[in-house]
Amino acid sequence: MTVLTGADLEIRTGEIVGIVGANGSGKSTLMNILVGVLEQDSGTVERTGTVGWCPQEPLLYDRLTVGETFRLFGSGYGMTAEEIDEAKHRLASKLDFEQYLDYRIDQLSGGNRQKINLSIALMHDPDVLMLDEPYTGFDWETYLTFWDLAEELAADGTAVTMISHLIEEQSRLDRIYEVRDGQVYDVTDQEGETDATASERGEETDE
Amino acid sequence: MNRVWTGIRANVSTFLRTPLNVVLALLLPIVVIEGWGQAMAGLPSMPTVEAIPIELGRLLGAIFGVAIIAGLMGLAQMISARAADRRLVQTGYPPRTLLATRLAALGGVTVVVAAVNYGVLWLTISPEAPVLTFVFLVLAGLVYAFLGALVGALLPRLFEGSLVVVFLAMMDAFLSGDSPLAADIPEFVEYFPLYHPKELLQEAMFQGTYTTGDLGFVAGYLLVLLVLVTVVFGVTMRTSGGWSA
Amino acid sequence: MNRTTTAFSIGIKEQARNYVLVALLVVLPVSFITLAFAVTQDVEMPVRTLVDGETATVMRGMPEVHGVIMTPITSALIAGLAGLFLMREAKDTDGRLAVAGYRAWQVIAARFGVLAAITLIVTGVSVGVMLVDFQPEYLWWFVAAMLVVSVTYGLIGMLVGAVFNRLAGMWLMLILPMLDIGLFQDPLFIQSEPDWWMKLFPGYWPVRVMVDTGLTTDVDTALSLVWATGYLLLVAVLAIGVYYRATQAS
Repeated sequence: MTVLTGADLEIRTGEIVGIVGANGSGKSTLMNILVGVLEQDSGTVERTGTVGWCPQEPLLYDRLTVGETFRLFGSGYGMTAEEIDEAKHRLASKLDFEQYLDYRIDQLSGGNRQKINLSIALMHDPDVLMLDEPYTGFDWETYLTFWDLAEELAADGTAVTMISHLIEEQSRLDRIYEVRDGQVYDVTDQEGETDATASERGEETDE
Repeated sequence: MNRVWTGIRANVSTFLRTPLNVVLALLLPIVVIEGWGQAMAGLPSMPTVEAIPIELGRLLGAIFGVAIIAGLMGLAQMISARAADRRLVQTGYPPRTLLATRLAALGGVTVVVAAVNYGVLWLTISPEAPVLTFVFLVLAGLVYAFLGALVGALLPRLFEGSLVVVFLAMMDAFLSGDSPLAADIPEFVEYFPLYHPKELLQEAMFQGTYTTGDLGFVAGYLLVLLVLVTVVFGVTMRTSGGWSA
Repeated sequence: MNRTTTAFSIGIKEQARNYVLVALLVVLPVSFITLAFAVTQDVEMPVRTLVDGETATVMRGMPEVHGVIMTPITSALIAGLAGLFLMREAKDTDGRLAVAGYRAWQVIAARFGVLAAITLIVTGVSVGVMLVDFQPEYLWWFVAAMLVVSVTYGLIGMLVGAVFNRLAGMWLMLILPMLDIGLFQDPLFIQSEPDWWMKLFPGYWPVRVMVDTGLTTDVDTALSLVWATGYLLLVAVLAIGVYYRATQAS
């Protein structure tokens, strides 16, 4: 089945880009291709620098502790033990999961699992950050902290891309792409809401 | 009652929507029944070991086939539905209704599994009492379906659960199945899940009769398993276990 | 620590924390193999094997023959299912490791290492419990063949896990070792040379070695172990390729 027929987009250093679209429009597919976990049938994806990816479903190993999860992925990012430790404590205190560092992933609540899911994407200060509805299950406090983090990273030169549904956050986005009928449109300058986002605000799962 | 029916339909269609499952559920009985029959009938001549008639070999294969397929179905059924079940309970399904739909669907699947095995068996043998033979095959399947469901409720992981069900069925079929290779079968084999279903089947198949004692034993067995499954299911629906499949 | 050792050691921890699995890896072989010895009639039976390079029939005790078959069947079943489920569990999440910078071969090495560890435990326990009741004539040849057949089945499980869903994979990984080792290669049931198509199954060469080195006093099947290893390598190449495809897109 073909989900996307044409997608041409560019994400630049230091900006926060939103991807919107109706359920099943191919937002996650697009992101998976950009990240590299899904192969595109044709076309090219060019990535410069390191990538951080926060998938929609927390892709984590159930029986590992939070600390081990950091070690496993940190090692992949090429970080030293000290760097991993530093990132772990920094994110744990920011997102408030310090007391859970020795818990196994399968013992965490959905919200806490999502915090780890996000932290794994952020821990190495990536050049490009790809977030697929990263705040699912966050309380308001955490949601605001998340935006602080994202804006900090963008200010430091990270290109942040996120799949988003909430209208109120569109003011925080530098540019907005909409996925519709297998194509990607730049809708940054369109006033107000797009058809797709208007019809489905609130919670949802994708694909 | 409408809810129960909706639940059953949803369960059955989920299974049928995976064609490969259906193909393999057909293939496994053929392989097991013919394999077992040929193997048992083709034993070399040794003192004290006597090859059994191929018909009996096939029957034993059918019992094993029904048991292992129904057992794994019960296991998978219980595991795959856990998270969703908890959600259904929240939407207002009483846990008891939910368990009833699960078990009814499982019963339906067991009847189909038994029918397939019976069909394969019937191609080569004509039982003395066809209806009884089929019914007893269903009973053997139900015992294992409930056992599988119990394992699934206690150990809700498909890998570990399947190991338990598979090895249990293999040992049970070997000990309960009058294997000509075996000697010194311990007394307690009588309490094994397949022992009395096998007695019933053998009698129905070759003599066309049945013994009430065996039937009562199987019924009791099913009842005990049903109570256990109900209790364990009720507990898991109330508590949020840390396990996931 | 480099990435491979990190991923491997954490992968082992992950499995070791699964106490139920660890217990089953020990309890199942012990009960199954012990039972096979305990209830099998102690009579002499004819066994087809190689003697001085010629196919010949020798008389051996049935429990011994049973041990030679039940031991590999147990470990092949467990290793096969382990491979299947490792693959199914890893498929999605290991893709994220690739995004995090792990090279494909590093993840592959770590995963196969975990499978190898599980296979070693199962093989060790199976052979260990078998030794209580039956000592093969050439233990190390026997163990080598056991390892080859177990690893081969573990890898086949991985292959099946990459292609089929869990339930279908489970059916296949049940049928395959039971048919292959339990019927086609079992000297009890197939007394003449197996048909050509039975020889295509993964158990053919290793079980030949086990029958020969377990039950006779000469090693006539060194070449069979080479063939068995060749079969293993072929499956390994396929499994690595499939795993690579499943976890690495671009």
